[in-house]
Amino acid sequence: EDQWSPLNPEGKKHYDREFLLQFQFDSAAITKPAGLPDLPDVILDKPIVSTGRPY
Amino acid sequence: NPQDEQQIISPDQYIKHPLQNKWAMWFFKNDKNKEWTANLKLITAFDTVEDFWGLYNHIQKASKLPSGCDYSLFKDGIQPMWEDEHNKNGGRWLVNLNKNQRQTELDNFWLETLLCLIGEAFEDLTDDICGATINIRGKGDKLGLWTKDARRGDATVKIGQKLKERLKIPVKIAIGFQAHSDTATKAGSTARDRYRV
Repeated sequence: EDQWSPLNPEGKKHYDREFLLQFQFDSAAITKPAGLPDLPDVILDKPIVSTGRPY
Repeated sequence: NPQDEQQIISPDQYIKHPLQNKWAMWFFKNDKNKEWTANLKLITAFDTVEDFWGLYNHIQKASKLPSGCDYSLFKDGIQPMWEDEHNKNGGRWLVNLNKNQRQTELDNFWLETLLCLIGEAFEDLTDDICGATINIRGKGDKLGLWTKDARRGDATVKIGQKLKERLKIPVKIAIGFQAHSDTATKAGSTARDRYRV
């Protein structure tokens, strides 16, 4: 399987849902991204840290 | 300085996980005083798993948006509209939600669709994928998965089957695919389905 990894940087970047979900509350993911536009309907200052369903 | 260079850090700890494609998240708010395109706003683009979550965690859940609003996630360079060169020959798999499902299913359906896109769940059919939209509407919310070419029957059906499976839509409930060109020429939203799964 030719999957991307730090040691196989040319591999395919395919990720299943469990793999993706483990990063949801990573330190990088709960820091507000820089440069978001001024859209008060949408942009939150603090992260949402609960999901509707216990993933 | 020399001390820092002596520290050994595993690559996993500092390399963000790159995505196969770069994606852009859009927000649409229905303001009848403005042109349609003026109501469409790019939120941001990202190309790593970590940056996706950073964005996702800092924008309102779809179920909390006012009626008339949309989120869209499209490959960077494709505008979330029929008229875009990448979309004009395409269509969408459409999942209609009933009113109760806004609270019970909508956010999960949307997140699952986003994970399918950024994780490349459609694998070798990735070139057929343009993006996805979620429409918040009083008369019923809609999830659409947009593909590039409505004539590509086998690929389109496989994409629809994968979407249905990932959303855990019961087998007995069919979802339909409509070509944008059919939808655009209908007054209502009653374009015939080109495919069903």
